[in-house]
Amino acid sequence: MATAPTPAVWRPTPAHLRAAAVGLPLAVAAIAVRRPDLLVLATPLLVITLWSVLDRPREAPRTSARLVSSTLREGEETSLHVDFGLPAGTRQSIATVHSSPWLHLRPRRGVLALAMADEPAATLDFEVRSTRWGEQHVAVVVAATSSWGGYRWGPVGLPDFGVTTLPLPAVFDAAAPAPHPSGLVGVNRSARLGDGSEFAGIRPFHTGDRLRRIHWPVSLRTRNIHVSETWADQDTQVVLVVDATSDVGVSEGIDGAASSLDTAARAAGAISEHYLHRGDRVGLRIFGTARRTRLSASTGKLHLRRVLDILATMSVQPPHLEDNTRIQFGLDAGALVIMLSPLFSVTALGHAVTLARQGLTVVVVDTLPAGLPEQTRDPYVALAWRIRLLQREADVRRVNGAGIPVVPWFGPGSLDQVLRDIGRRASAPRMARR
Amino acid sequence: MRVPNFVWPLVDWSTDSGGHHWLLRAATCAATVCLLVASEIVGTGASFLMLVGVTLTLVWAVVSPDSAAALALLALLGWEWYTSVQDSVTPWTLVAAVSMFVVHTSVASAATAPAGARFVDPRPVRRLVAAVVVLALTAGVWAAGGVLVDVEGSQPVLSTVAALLGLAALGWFVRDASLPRPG
Repeated sequence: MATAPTPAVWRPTPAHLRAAAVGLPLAVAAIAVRRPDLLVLATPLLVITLWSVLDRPREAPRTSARLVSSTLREGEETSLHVDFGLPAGTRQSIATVHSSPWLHLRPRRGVLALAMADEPAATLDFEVRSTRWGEQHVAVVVAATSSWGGYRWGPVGLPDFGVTTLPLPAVFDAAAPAPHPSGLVGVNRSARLGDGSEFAGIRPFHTGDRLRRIHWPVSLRTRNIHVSETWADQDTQVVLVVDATSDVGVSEGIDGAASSLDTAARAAGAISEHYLHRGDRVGLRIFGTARRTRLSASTGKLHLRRVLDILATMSVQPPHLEDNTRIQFGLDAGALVIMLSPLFSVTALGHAVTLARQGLTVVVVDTLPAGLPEQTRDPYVALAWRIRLLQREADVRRVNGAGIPVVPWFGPGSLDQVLRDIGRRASAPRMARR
Repeated sequence: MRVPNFVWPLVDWSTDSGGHHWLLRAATCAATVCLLVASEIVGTGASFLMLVGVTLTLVWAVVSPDSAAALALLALLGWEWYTSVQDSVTPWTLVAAVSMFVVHTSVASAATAPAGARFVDPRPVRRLVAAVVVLALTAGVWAAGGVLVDVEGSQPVLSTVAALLGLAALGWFVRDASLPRPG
C-alpha cells in the first residue's frame, strides 16, 4: 500500500479567481454606471465565488493506493484501488495512473474523476493488464476539488508500485529422451540397468536381488527363480543459456508480434517448465544483460518460479555499462546446454562453440523473428537486413560445422529430432578438447 | 507533403480527450455564441475586432481551461454586453447571465481533471440543483433590478449605497476566506 507522502493544502483555482475577478468589477461597474443588467451578469459569478468560499473543505484528504498483485503473468490482470478519506466539502476526487507502455489500463487513459456528495470516503478502481514480461512501474497521482472547482488539493504523487511480469511460457513438449542423463532419480532411461520402471528383461535370480522383483510366471514355468530387470531412471541437467546481447524485431506484447528476446524468454520458460515437471534439474545463464545472470541447477516448482523471476528481469544491456557478455558458465559434465539466441552476436556464436569444444551437448534454438526485411518500408534498410541475414547464414553454417545443431523455435517438438540425433551420436566415439 | 510540427500536439490533444471534455467544450462554445447572438438581438452587436478577440480567447480557453484565457473571455463578453446593449432591464439579460454561468462552470469543470479523464457522477441531480439555485438567484436579482428602476427612477441613491456596502463586505470576506490554509 502506498500513501500520500507530502502534506498539501487546498488552494484557490484559476476558476475561483476568475469568478471573483470578473464578478466583482462587473458588480462595481453596474453600480457606478447604474446598469442593473451588469449586476445580473455578475450575480452567478458572485454566487459561485461565495458558495466556493463557504463550502470550502478545511482538512486535507487522506489518500492511499493498493495494488492487488505485484507479480503477474503476461496477459493477466490485476486491480489498483485508490482510496480517499475525504473531508466535508470535497466534491470531486481524481486519480491519474501513469504506467509503463506494457501495462494497459482501464479506464484506457488512466484518469478517473468521481463526483462526491459529502461521502467520507471513496475508492477509485483501475484494472491493470500486463502484456509483456519484464519489470514495469505504476505511478499514481491524486487530487481533489471543492464546489464549483473553486479549490483544489494536490496533485500529489503516491509512491510508485513495481509490477513484475513473468514470461508466459510457450507451449512446449519434447518426446525425445535427454542425451546424457546422469543423476540418481528422474524419468530419463539410463544406459545401464538398475532400479526403475521401464522393463528391460528377465534373468535368473542373483544374490542381492529384491524379492518383489521375482517374476513368478517364468519362475514356475522354468522351476528356477527369475527376476524382472529394469532400466535405471535418471534425471539430467539442462542448462538454458539466453543471449540478451540484442533484441531483434518488433515487440507487441502477448497479443502481437514477438521480438527475439520475447521468444527467448517465453521459450526458456517453456523448456524449464517441461524439464522441471519431468523431475530434471534446470539451470540458467544469461549473458548480455545488466542484472542477475546465473541460476544454479535445481528442480521443483519453486525453482520454475526462480527461473521465471530471473527471466523477467532480463533486458538488453545498455552499451555504456560494463561488458557483461563474458560469463563463467561453470557447467557439469553431461549437462544438456540449450542456447536461445537470434545468432546476431559474435559472442553468442563464440560461447556455443566453446561449450561444444568442452564436450558438452549444445543445442542452439534460433529466436530470430521471421520476415525482418519485409517489416521495413525503406528499401535501403531492407537491403541492409538481407545482407546481414546472409552474413548470419554463413555464421550459422560454421556453427553447424562445429557439430552444434541450430533449430528454429516453433513450440512443441522443437527439440525432438535434434535430441534423438544427439542421443544416437552419443554412442559413437568423438573427440573432445578440454 | 510535410506536416508542420505544431499539428501533432493538437492531434494528440484531440485524440486524448474523452467524451466528457468534448461536451464541456461544446457547451463553452455554444454559450459564447448565445451571448453574442443575444447582444446582436437587443443591442448593436459585436464589432469585427471584438469577434476576433472572443474567438481567439475562446479557442485558448477550450484548449487550456486551467489558464487565464477563460478570465479574458468572460471579461470580453461582459465588455461586449456593456458596450452593445443599452436596455438595462431587457429579459435577454437573463440569457446573457446564463451564458456567462455556463462558460464559467464548463471551463472550471474541464480544468478539474486531465483531458482524457473518465467522469463518474453517481448523483447528477445534486449538481443540477446547485445550478438551478444559482440561476434562480440570478433571476431574482434581475427582477429586483427591474423593480428598483421602476421605484427609484434614474437616481437610485439608497440602493446604490446599499449595493456598494454589500459589495465591499463581500469583497472583504472573499479576500480573507480565499487565502490557502494549512490542512
